[in-house]
Formats: sequence, structure tokens, C-alpha cells
Amino acid sequence: MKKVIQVFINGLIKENPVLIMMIGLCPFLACSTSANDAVGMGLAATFVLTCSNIIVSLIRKIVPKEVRIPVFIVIIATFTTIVDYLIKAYFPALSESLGVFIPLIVVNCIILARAEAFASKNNVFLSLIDGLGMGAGFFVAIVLLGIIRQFFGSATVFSSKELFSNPAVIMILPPGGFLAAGVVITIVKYIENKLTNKKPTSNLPEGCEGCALKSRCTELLNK
Amino acid sequence: MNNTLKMVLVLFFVCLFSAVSLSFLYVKTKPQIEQNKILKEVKFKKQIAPLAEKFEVSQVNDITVERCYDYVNNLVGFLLKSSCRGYAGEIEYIISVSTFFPLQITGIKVITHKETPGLGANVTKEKFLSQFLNRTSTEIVLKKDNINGKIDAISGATITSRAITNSVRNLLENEILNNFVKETIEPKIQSPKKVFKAQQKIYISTQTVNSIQEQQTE
Repeated sequence: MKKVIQVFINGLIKENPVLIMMIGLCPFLACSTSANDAVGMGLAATFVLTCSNIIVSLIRKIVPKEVRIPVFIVIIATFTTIVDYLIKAYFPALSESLGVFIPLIVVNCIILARAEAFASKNNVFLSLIDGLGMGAGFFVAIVLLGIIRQFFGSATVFSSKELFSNPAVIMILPPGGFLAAGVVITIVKYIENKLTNKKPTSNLPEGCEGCALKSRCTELLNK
Repeated sequence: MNNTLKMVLVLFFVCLFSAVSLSFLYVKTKPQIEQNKILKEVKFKKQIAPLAEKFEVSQVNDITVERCYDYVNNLVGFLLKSSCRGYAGEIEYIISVSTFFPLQITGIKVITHKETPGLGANVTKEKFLSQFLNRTSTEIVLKKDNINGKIDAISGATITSRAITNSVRNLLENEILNNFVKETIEPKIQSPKKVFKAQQKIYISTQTVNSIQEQQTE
């Protein structure tokens, strides 16, 4: 039981896919122009993630290593198309605003990453929990950004009532997405550093620790 | 060899399973999806031509024109369905116009579009579309394009606003369409047959609308 909670919290906070691990940034930026769209996208992605995790985990022992990626992609694409049809049929209003972004869940890196890194190595129940946790993490992040962008960009939150006049339109445009995402990620990183009380372990500049080209830069620095 | 065969089989069965389940779901949801589209159009028609009970479709060049009659067969307006190229794709819209000259717009709705969410997508909002109401073709110009214009472009979406404004204006100024409207309002005595023929195409009455809605509630 302890492990279950740990896996869920891991996805939601400690290894939050968007804010900490920096994957799945494309839908995070593209579908956060309004809070409603963000909720729709968050739920759709969580559904696909959870379902694909379950199936991948179920068939993990019969899939040969060489074809695992095509198999994962087929499974993810199937669930994405299912979501697309269901939304079109039963939530026509949501399908209008999310429209082109739903099919793009297929290439959401979070889903493939979890299939590859977690579901193909763990049992069905844990994979389900991991899907829910990671989905919740993505949902929280995208809705947070959606609320911020909608508030500053169109002066509304979850409704069409304008809260103030002359909103900053740039917040709805792609540059605004990067600005808002940058600010949110900065704050999260700051809090993370405060909480873990991280101290620089090497004489590398801050942020270089996880870089793949670290050794190269160190050589250059030492010259 | 054995390993290769296993790879092929696994991939084959995964694909087969996914294809079967998807085609099953497609068949299940297709009627609902199509009904949503019809219902949306019917709803829009009701909103922009509230008096109309009967619609008669005819094709004038590439414009779909529907003459609207109320329940005692008085002509109450025309519905014109057309489309234009917006910023990111086709914008399909439907307008209702008056039965007198110069033609005035009595209602306008955007049916489908692919514009940017949050910007161009605002063409569907009342705030923009209500500017078209009771305007004639000379007034339907963007304010920034012509001093006589009465239409304010959506901020950040000038291309979309201009596309739809110009398209609506061209539609109202279309000569063949104007002749068609004139003929319907004052039918020439020489050609009653022609008018009669066009009127036979009654395809959606309020009864069909009600039956669709009943089906849905069931």
C-alpha cells in the first residue's frame, strides 16, 4: 500500500512530468490558451496514459524487445482515436475548441515515456496507479498554466465574464505560453531547491549538472 | 527465425486488435457525430431565422440559398450558406438576409472553422458577429479598411475578420444572387413553372427537427 501511494505521489509531485521532468511540453504550451481547453486536454491525456499503461503492462511479457516501440505507439494511437471519437460524439463543444490537438496526444512524450520506463517493467496495478499519478501531474500543470494564461490574456477564468478590460493578448499567443511556462517552472524549481536544500556538488555553473555535454564544457572551462 | 516470427505475429495481432476495436467504435459513434452536425446547423438556422418554419433549398452557382417561409407560407427571409478562406483554413458560415432591397443581414453564424483558439476562433462569438446585423453591403467593410466601414476587426485576428467581412460583402453584392432574390420576391408571371419547380424541394421542416430531438432523448 505504501508503494502505491509512493508511485502516485511520485507522478503528481516528485517527478511531475511537465514541471520537473520537462517532457510533454508541446501540449502543455499549445492547449493552455484557456482553462476549459486545459481541463479537456488534461483529462484526455490522463485517460490515454492510464489505458495505454494498463495494456502495455498486460502484454509486457509477450512483446519482443525489438518491436516494443511500434507496439506501444499502436496502442497509444488506438486509445487516442477512441478519445477523439468519444469527444466528437458526446462533447461537441469541447471537440470544437480542442479540435486538432486531440490526435496529437499520440506524440505526447509523457505517454510513450511512461510505457517505456514504467509500464513495461511493472505489474498492471502499479502501472495503473503510475498512469493516474502522472496524468494528475500533467493535469495540474496544464490547468494551472491555462488559468494563468486565460486570466491575463482574455481577462476571464472558466467563464466568458470579463474581469477587467484591455487584457494582454500576447498571453494567449505562443510567446505568452513560453513566458507563463517559464515563470511557472522557475517558481517550481525554486521551491524544489529550497525543499531539498540542494547544494552545488561541483564547481560547474548552476544548471549544468544534468547536461549530457557536461564533460565537454568542463574541459573548455578548465582551459 | 523463431524470434522473427514472434515479432511479426505480436505486431500483427496488436494491429488487428486495434483495427477491430476502432472500427467497432467508429460505427457506434458515427450516427451521433453526424447528428451533432445537423443539430448544430438546425439550431443556428432557428437562431438566425426564428420565424421560418419551412425551408426550400436551391443552388445559385456555388452558393446554397434557402428560402424561408413561416407557417402560413409567407416569405420571411433567405438563408445563404457559403465559405471563405480564413487564416488557417476554410470558414463555413450561414447568414440570413432580409426580403427587401438593399439586402440587409438579419443573422449570421459561423458553422465550422480552423482558426487559432483564443484569437481567430473568436469569430464565432456574438461580440464580433452582432456587428453585421442590419447592415447593408456598403457598410460591411472593416473600419480600418474604409472610413464607411462599420465592422471592428477582432484584435489580433485581422486576417480572419477581413476574410469573413469581405466574403459576406461579396455574397450580398453577387449579381446572380440578387437576381434570384428579386425573382423570388416578385415572381414574373411568365415563369410560374420555374418557381414552382424550385419550391418542391422541401427538405427540413420543424417536424424533422422534433423527431431528431426525440430520438436523442430516447
